[in-house]
Amino acid sequence: MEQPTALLELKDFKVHFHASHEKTTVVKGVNLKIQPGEILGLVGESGCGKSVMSQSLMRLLEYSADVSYEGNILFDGQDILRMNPQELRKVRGNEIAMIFQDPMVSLNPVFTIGNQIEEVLKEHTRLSKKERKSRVLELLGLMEISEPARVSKQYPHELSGGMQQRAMIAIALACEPKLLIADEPTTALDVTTQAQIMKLLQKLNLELGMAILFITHDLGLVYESCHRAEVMYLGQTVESAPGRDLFELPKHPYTKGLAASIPSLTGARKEKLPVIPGIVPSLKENLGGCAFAKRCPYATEKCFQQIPPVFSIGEGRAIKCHYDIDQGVSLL
Amino acid sequence: MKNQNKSLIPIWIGSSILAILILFAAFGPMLSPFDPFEMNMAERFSPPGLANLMGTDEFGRDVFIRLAYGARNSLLIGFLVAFLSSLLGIVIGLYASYYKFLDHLLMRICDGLSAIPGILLAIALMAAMGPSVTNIVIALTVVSTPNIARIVRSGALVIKKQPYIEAVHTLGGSHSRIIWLNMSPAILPALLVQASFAFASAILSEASLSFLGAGISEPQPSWGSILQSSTHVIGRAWWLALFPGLLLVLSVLGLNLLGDGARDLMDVKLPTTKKGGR
Repeated sequence: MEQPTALLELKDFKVHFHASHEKTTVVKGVNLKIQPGEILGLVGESGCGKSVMSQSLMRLLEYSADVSYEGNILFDGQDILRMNPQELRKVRGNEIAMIFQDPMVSLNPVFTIGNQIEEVLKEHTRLSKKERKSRVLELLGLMEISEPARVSKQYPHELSGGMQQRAMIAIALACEPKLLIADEPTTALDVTTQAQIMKLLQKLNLELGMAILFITHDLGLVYESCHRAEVMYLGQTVESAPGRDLFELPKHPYTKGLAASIPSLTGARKEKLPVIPGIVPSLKENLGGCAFAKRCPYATEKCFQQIPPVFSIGEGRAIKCHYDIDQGVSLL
Repeated sequence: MKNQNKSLIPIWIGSSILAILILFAAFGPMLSPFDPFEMNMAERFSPPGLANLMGTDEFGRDVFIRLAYGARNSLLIGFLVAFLSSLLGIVIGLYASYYKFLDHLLMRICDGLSAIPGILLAIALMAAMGPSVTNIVIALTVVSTPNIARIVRSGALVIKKQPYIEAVHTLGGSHSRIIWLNMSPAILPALLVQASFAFASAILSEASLSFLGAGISEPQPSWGSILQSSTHVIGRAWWLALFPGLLLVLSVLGLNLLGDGARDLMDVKLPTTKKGGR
């Protein structure tokens, strides 16, 4: 399953925000690999830096904030951080595409759906007008939209949320990108639509062989659809595991906490839903040791003093923790 | 639905007034047997009657035909100023909203221009350039562009942050594509509304300039200069003040009704409507 060359590789990737002469590091050294054709889930609670990271993969933050990057983003062997604007534009939309949380605001209200899909084709391909039109219909058909011709002439407000998200995905897939970044693509949709969109994404992943970076805070979705998942906490990845294992056999104390705090429909009803104690520390806080130590029920002296390295613990799994809690042993 | 019917009324009134003015400017001169420049000392200050619909002025010229020719100037200047300042305003506003560096540069220039009272700036520009219709258009465009640029900019700043603009970035759209194809359509309603106000205020400013002697100069007819000539004789020749004044009121009223109605109809949310006096 593992291929030697990753499609996307982050090496010690950091994102710093500069505001009023202060530097805040939001993404604190992430190492991550996405293989071609893989669905990688990126899980974490609000404010852990997952969205910032996903947006900085295409260097979108530069337009709205004062940011600087460190490390490497290797996409197909090329470093995105060292691309000039022209090279970057060729990658965006063509090789890497992105879909967003709220499809309603991600579509321009003044253009028809067909128009917006065509725009990408105009930018990246040399198709004639006629070819573009047929490609639009083909794409909408691929999105399992029943009347592509009618929908292509409609404006975003005439469509339901699910249809809007399909249109958004159609725009993203217009040039058959190698990687799709999906930033909480189903959060704004209701549960049944959510399931349809996830099915669609999985189908596209299989049929087109397109890798997906799936960002979410929903562990259930990761369990259902991701080949592999990374858990993010405070700008770092703390655990990496195959999607199902992460849910069934979490290793890192933080992931354990997350998994335990999901309400279950079966089994005995608990008095109180377990929660992870404490709050997420401020990004500005200088933590000497493990970022999670303050909230970790297993924390020892060592955790507060030493930043744990990433330990590989077999079966494609890795954690950033000093201990293997289940075995009760130190990993050193 | 009730709401929509309601907001159509000002548009109808406004556009009818404007249509009447345009007809007056286009065909008014044909209805009158007089020449706008022909003096007739025997007929000085004759009151409105069958021969001279709106009376005559101090040189015995027919006021009706002079007002009709003046309407041509007013409408032409108003339209050109609205058009040119919209064009400049949208370019300045969009680019200022998009590039931080340009924002500081362009908006400080606009601040500088709006710090000087509009009419004073126009008079100064007219004094420097000399009186002619072209120069009036240039001077008034300089005066009204900063306003429009500011409104376009504030609208564009909001649009720029919209996820659908960010989405174009992710699709590899160039900056000029984003600015002109994706951002500008959202600004157009606000721009059209503002342009109609610029039209009205340009008509008023032209009249003020001509009134003060810095605009269209005699013997060329202008509403402003006709009003000015009435100031000495207002007791004897009330028609010299009434008719150009009425035309000014009507044209500004018509355009503002049109702009207001359009704004309600298109539901344009401008920062000025929040603060606005109306």
